[in-house]
Amino acid sequence: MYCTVVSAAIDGISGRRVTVESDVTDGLPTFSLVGFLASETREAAERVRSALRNSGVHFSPEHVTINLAPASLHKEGALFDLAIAVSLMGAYGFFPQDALKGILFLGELSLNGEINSVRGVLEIVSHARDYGCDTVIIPRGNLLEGCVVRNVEVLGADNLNQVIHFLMDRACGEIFLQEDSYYEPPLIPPLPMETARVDPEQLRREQEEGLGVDFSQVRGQELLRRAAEIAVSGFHNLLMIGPPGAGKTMTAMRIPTILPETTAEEALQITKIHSIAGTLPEDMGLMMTRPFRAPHHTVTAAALCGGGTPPKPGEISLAHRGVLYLDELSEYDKALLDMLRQPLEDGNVRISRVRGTFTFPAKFILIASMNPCSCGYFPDRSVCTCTNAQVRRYLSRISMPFLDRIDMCVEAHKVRYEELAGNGEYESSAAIRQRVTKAAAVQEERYKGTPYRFNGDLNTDGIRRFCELNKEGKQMMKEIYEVMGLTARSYNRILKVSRTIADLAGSDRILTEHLAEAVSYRAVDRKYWDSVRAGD
Amino acid sequence: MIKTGKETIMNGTDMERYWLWLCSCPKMYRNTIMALIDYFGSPKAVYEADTRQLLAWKRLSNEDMTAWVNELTVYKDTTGTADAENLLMKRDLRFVSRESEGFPEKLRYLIDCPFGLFYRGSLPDPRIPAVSVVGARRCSHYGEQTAALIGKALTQEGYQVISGMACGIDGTAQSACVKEGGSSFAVLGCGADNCYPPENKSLYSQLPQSGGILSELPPGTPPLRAHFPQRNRLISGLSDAVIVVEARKQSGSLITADMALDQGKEVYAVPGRFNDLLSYGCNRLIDQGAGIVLSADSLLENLADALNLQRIIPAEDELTSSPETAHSRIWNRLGEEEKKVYMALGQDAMSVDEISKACGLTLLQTMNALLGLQLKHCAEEISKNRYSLKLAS
Repeated sequence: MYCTVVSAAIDGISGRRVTVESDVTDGLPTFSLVGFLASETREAAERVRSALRNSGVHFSPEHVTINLAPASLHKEGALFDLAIAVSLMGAYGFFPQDALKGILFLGELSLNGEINSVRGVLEIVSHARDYGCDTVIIPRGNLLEGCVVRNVEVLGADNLNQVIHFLMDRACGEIFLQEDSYYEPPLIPPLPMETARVDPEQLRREQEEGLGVDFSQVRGQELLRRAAEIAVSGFHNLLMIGPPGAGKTMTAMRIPTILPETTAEEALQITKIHSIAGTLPEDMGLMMTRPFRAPHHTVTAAALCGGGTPPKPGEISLAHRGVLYLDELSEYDKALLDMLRQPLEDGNVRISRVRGTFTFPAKFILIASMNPCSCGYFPDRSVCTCTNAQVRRYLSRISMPFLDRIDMCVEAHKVRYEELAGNGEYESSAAIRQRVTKAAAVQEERYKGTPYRFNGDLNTDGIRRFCELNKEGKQMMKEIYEVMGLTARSYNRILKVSRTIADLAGSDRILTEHLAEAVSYRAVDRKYWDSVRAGD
Repeated sequence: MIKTGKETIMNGTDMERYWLWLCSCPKMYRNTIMALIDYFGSPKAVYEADTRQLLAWKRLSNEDMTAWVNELTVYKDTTGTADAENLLMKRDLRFVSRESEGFPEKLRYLIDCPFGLFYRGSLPDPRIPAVSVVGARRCSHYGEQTAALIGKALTQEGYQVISGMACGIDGTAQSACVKEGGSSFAVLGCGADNCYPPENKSLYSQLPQSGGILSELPPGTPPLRAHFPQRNRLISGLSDAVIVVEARKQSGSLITADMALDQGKEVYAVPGRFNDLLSYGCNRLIDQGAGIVLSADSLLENLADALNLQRIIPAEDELTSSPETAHSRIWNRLGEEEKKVYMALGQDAMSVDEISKACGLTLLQTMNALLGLQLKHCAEEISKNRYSLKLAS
């Protein structure tokens, strides 16, 4: 007999429908699994047979062929196990084809019949309708993630018996069971499969509570705090330069507490990527908070940008719609940093391999920190022991084109004792976040119907359209441009940042005071990098 | 053994050629030349001496000379006087021995006067007073600003500026002089055909246009640590006064100052603050009696007095030249907040946080005022988010 069951695979970062066909005929007893399979997928044969037997299903020896279509798609992972088991039972006649209609199966089987969690559930479940399914059976471990999708019925199964019972109940009409095959249900009938509903707002509250850090713990560093606020409000890339122990890392670690809230769509996008990469915590159905990724400087190119076989999203994609924090920027491999240039520009990363090109989203705020020289104290010459050549060599570890993509740069100075030991009250994350949220809302409203979402996304056209200056502002920018020797790039960045500062201040127009502040954060330009030259 | 060019007659006196030949010998330092001349009497005799005679010389001298004689023998075998001349031309250098008329008169008075000088460009004009500006290589921004200011003021007053072309103070002062169109001379601690430090490449190429690059070391000599105290004596020797801008406790600039005192030259130091590590050496010099540099104008005044010169630019009126009046001129153009920030700023870099604390303004107001001051050329951003007063120049 023949039976077909719907399942799905992850191809890069999107789902593809996969049909699992089984055919049982008379002949030499064999069990062959075909359809361009990776070795772990091929091993499904062993897992499925043991799982079925240990769940009480007994088969007569027959000639069995199982095909995973389309054959052109290379199939990896163990997420087809459940579909293969169900399809095999269907082919043996345990349930009629009708009972399987409109159901999508996902899950990896244990030898004892339990169903284990798999990666990429959210992406597949959200496309279940497109694959012609209105019910999805997934591992219970993935239930929280799967049930985010509202337009299909999502059932979470702990073990194979639950699935078998469900399907047998669904079956009406006659079944033609293969001779010598039978099902021996467990003595205690299995519980029905679970469904769940998540409340995104509840999740958001829970997830935000768990951070445990607060901006009020950062003492002093007014400038740094303010710069962080602006950077997250407008999605601007920020570079912090300062001596060791100034609080750069501490500030960065508290940035998640002030990030603007995710929209439902963003949360879904973020969760999908993490689900596919397998970095989604089990008890977290939907990632309502923005991700914060801080890869160590020994990170490899594939881990940073994505890669491997099959290509999996890297750190920059995992930081999508969140923060990528690079501590000790100068320690990163220069080539590695230059790889970030294209994603920083385009908001996605294209990974080309022989098997195809994959595009992973990678729109993140880059927060980076570094020392000004190898001893960390330049330009304080009474402490700094570096020669000019050493300072220059240190700075030149970061390429100019990379720096060109950083909107803001700010100095973190050594914390004074009074600030450290004093009992001054510093603003809490909640207070900062209130302003950030407001600014984010203003931007959302303004950029409705445009490709932009935050001020940091603006390109030259967008800047011309949305960052208009008044007469005074223009006059001031002219002076600044001439006196400070700005480049066209830094000019545009100042406008973008001043737009965010104006949004934070609740002003429609960019005023001179907003420009003045933005100028202080202007990114380091060639002039600064070159000025570390004696006798110049 | 055939020596090429031994018979060729070149311009200049014969003696000069032999001096050039001797001084161009690799690793030939003053002491060795002196020992050779003591023994053989003249560079020509050294040139014509055969190995046997050299060995005899070796026996007279101490152990250190052994390697030396081999070196000299090889040099004698491979290079003739014409070769030395060609090489000099190829390297775009000129040579003057101390027996020549063109040799700087001031150096003749040194106890350890060099036997010859290699130079590119020209030698300092003996009729024009020369002042050297020396200081730390790793200097603060303040030091750099001061050096530039002094270099510029000296040039405008018509002095020749002499220094070592090092990173930091030396190079900055010389750059300022060149920029102002003056003549500046660099004495190097390596061969004059060698740009050290490489950072000052542009200065190195500009100097010979109206000034020069000098060295007593043979062309091609690498910059070794031991060469620098030696070249410092030439810096002070060539100048009429030495100005030390920023010097730590143990600084090479102090050697220059000591030598200048030994040679009877004027020494001035730019004061640092109390307990300032970067200017500790300067402060000690002042303590020991060096002239203090209060402003560019007072320096020029003191120099003119000390060297018995007429000032080219008449001394500014005390009232208009004093720092207070310069400040008050700026003062009137500033806004309320700018005034507060201006008062808080110093010559050392301050971070925005510090400034805002010091003048009791919010961060926003501070940044606003700082931008205003920068646009009015009263303040400058030295490194990221660190500001200092801009010295009026």
